[in-house]
Amino acid sequence: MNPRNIVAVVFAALAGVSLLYLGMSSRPPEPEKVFTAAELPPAWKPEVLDAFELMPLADNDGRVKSMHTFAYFELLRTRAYATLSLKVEGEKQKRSWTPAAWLLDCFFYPQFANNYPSFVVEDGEVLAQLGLSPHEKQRDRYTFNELRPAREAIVAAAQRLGMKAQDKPEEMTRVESLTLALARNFASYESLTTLFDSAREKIAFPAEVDDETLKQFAGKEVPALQAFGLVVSSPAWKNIDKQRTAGELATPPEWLKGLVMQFETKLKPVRDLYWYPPTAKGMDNWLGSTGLTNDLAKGGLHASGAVARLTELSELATLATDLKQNDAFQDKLLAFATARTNEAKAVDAYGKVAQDRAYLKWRVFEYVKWFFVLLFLFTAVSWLMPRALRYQKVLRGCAWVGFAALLGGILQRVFITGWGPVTNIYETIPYITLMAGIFSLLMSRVMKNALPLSVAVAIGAGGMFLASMHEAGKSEDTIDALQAVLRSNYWLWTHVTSINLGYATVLLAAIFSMVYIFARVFDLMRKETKLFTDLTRSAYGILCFGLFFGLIGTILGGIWGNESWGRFWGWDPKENGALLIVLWCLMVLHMRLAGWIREFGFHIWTAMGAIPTIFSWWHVNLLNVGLHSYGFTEGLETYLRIAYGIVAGIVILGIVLRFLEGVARRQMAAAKQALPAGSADPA
Amino acid sequence: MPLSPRIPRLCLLLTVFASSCRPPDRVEVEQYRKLFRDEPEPKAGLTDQQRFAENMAQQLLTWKTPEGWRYVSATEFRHINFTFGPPGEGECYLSVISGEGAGVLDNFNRWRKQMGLPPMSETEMEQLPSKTILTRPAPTIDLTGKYAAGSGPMMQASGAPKENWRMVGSIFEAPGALFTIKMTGPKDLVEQNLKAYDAFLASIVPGVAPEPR
Amino acid sequence: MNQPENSTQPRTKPGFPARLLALFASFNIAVVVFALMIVVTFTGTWLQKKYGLYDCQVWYFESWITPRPAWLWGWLPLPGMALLLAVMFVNVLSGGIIRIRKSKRTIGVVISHMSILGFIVAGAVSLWSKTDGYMRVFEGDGNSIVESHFDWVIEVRELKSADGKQPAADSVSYFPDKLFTDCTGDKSRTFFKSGWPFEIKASGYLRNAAVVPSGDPSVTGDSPRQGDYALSAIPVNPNNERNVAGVRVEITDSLGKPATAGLLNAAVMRPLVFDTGGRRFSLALTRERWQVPFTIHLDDFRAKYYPGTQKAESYESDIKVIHEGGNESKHRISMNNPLRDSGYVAYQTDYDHDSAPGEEKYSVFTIVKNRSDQWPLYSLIVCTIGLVIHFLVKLASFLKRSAATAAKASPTP
Repeated sequence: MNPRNIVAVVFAALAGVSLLYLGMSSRPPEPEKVFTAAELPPAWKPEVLDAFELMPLADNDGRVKSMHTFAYFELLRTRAYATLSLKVEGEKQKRSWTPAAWLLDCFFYPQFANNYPSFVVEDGEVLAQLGLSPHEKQRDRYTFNELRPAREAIVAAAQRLGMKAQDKPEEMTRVESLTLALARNFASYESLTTLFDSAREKIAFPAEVDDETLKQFAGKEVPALQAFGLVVSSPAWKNIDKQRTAGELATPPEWLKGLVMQFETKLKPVRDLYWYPPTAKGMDNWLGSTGLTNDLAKGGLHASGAVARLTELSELATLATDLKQNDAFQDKLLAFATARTNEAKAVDAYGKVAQDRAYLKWRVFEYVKWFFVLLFLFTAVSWLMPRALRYQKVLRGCAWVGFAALLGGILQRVFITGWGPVTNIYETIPYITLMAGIFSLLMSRVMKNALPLSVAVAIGAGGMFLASMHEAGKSEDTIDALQAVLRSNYWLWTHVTSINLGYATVLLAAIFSMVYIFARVFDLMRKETKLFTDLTRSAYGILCFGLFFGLIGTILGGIWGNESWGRFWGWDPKENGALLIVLWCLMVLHMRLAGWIREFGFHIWTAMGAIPTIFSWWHVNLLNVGLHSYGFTEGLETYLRIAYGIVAGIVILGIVLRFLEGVARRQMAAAKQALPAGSADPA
Repeated sequence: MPLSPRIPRLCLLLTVFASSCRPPDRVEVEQYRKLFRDEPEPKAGLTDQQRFAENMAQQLLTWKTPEGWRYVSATEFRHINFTFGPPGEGECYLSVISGEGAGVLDNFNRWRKQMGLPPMSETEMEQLPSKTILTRPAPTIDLTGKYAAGSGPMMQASGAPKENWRMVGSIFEAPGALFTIKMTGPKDLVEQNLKAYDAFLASIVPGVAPEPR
Repeated sequence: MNQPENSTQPRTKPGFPARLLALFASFNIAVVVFALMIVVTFTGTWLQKKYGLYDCQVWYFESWITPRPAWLWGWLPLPGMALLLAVMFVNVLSGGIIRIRKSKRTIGVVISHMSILGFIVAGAVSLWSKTDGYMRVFEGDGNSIVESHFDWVIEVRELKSADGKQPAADSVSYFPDKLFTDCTGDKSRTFFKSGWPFEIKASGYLRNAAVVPSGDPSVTGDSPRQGDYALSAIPVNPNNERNVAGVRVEITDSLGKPATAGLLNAAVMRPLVFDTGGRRFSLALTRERWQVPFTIHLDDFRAKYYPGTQKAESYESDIKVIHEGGNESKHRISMNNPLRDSGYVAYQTDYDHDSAPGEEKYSVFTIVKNRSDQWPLYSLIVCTIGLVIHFLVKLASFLKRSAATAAKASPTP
């Protein structure tokens, strides 16, 4: 069999398996329901969406981000896909919602949004256990209104399972984890659709209101939020407040008591979104509407503009309910969002919000992913058709372009955060992909062989798939507000980059060795001797690089530890993981020097090196002890087991093959001895 | 090259060595340090009750645990706490209610309510028999009935009401605080422990309040 | 690539020292040590989830042979990391430095091997001589006493006698917990000192304990008791800083008669005071504490939080260091920016989390004295130089070789 064909078959099989996997794991098809125009709210004007997306928000992770970023991760987490598209009666193409449009619908048109298929349910069993009847498809999308009948069960499940997940995470079943995720999404969604309730729902001013500023509202209905602003700033309230602070027994009039009771039922927010920027430069007192009411009652720094802001929110929400005045409403919303942006800019609190939005809009990593998938297919084809190998240079050029774009995406993040390229576990993925890919491409040049090029392309595609799986799996902002100890560009650029370069190169060496094992399995050695020598030299060289970066990175980490908390080495899992890789490299290299292993043995041990690398890169984060445990990843253990299994399978394959080859060689030697003169080719 | 047999032998030797180095049974203390600047001097003459005091009441008072009683950990409302008899049956505890709590009568009536009895009047209270604690008179009630603990605020009802239960309780006033002592349990068990109750009351004397550290 | 050095021509039989050196220098030892290090590191990491970092560190990484509780499956002891590093030291010294063939091609390897020795020595020096503890300083106040993170001691202090005839001592004797952590249950050890009219017998040690009334349900038959009280065992917290030790002590006078007995628990702030032989002593179980030759005065502490959260973006302390001679200097310490002064290093470690943002009352510093503080840095520089030289040498030979193959591959017409 022609070796090329074999490689091609392997590649085609890999491509097929990946495509199959993609097909299986991709988002579930949208429900077939066709919406009529009456079932949908008015569309948002582009300029309104634009302004809203650019509006700053101090999210509860501590980071000031764009509204787009917030909406993106909310929708991604709830729906497992960051776009909503619906069939509309009489429209050929599906109408689609950006995250911001979806979020605005949740805010202002909950009656419509509650009928969107916003919730992904991974397993119908989840709904059955909550007492609902699931759709036919196991994995499907549901609307809020479909889930609402089980609200009590969902709230109870959130509480019970939340506690269990904290106390006994190892006892959580799959359905329980999925139920908890759904319950949290449900609560989060509900908090968004009720966010403007207090601005929408009205309270009645009693007829007997006796206050100079409030008299005009006597007997009228006013949105609760606005009413609160009016009442708290009225002379009657201030008078009572003065008496209270003086320690006197204050007896508010009956009408005021009645109003306060109404406030207590109507002003019950579950969530506050901090979109009001700080009051002055250098301050960090971001607030949302609830914070604003508290601040107003306490006379805090935001109090002076609070009444106007509460009124503005009330008018906005009230106007939204009247669909006839939609134009006016959208204009008002535009003004609202623009005002927040300008306020933030005025106190230098806007930061890189615009770039933050651009990062998620451009989706560089997403395009890079599909680009590499495409390249991967081309590479597979090129192995099938020897003539296509002439276009190898073009493919290589394309691969360089792909990695350059990946670098661009990484640099875009660096520009936004202002920190080194790797600050959290997510960022290790594009970085390691980039580094392993570049090294592989360089090897392709050195070896003058197309195999490393294919490896590079496969790494590019695989790495970027991992990145998007990680993003969707956690559905949390992938940019972090960094812990105080990590806020050091010097160490982020030295220790973190070199240690991850170590991971990348050791992993790449392992991949080369796995390729070697496969090539050996298909017995390509006879025809492609040079390929084997090259693979060995490359793997050896890359492993040496891995040792170099791993060692330097690990030690730099120790020195950083010594500068931050006074100990060079604390034997915590992350440190030990890095040490394991270094020790592995040293062991393999010294085994070779000691003559314990030669070519095949070297590749078997190097391929096995993927296990400590995966352990150090991912698994130690699950051990969750010590000073390094910043990242927590759920559901990772199964994936890790699969990865270990694959590596172990390949290694065992190599071991078996090596054993068989040894037996064959001995038999040949015996045969040769039997013949007095003969010549066998040196293996 | 095969592994040298010396290596495992060396390991064996080291294992034996490592497991044998336990300090001797008598050790001379050699380490010392200078006193720190302004190192406070420990207070002498404290009893265990004062050293291990769990709350202010235990610091202020000294007592003897009566024979047969089990001294158990204090809780938020039981500052000196005992049990006796089978588990969950006999209980006796002292509480200190400081500041503007309810008065003596209020507390007695709260207890009466727990026993399912109507409140009593001030004059009825004045006729109660009195014991002496810390040289002060302590009016004492002795009630029998259906006991439902935790009818007061902030207390959770602990199971079903207990039939044929007896409660003996004394209250005495000190400046700024009320001291209440309450014993509950099955009728017969309480009867057997009346002497112990008196012994406990008699053993209470003021402690030497240690300086707060 | 270096070939194993056993491919030499027949020579006269080497002498004993040379043979010993060859044994120590063997690659086989290197490989075995690396393999064992991998096993020990993995085990010591994996079990941290169960036993916590502190125990695993002591059992696997600071020991010569792993102690009994750390044996795998209850019967398999492993060599401790200290032993493996010691063997590695000998191996690297004899193989990687003394015995290696020295040439232009190996110079980088020799240099990087030397740096490895530097790391091992730095580790050993820090393991056996580093002192490390924390100091809490309130704003506007000063402190010079450092408290250990983990180590307990029993302090014995002579006070002024009851009759006032014997003066108080100006020093405190103490003995460390490693001398009584094995005194669990009925096992005991006696501590004495010349000049003391008594002896202390320690028993019933518990790693995490609380003093409770003896009738408490948590008290079992095994709990050490004294009078109305007992030490009740609390499950050991994997986070060792949270454990509070307890021990029972019995005092016998100079005639060997029991004088007093008591329970010591680190959570109990009031020491056990007893009189014997006309003198008065106090006994307390506390963290090991020591005074440093300077006072840190906290002028100001500031923390900056991410908006709307309790997550600190940065925190820093403005301090005055007052030396014993009286000279003062002002500094600012923050995360990643420690202060090095007169052999000590002060790190910003923690602060008052209970107060509202902006009203933090105290700052916590880690105070470390470590002679090998900067040695890893120096070793790293040496190591990098060695590896870079080696890389360049390899690169040069590779380029030369590929030039040669290229020349061979394309023969001139």
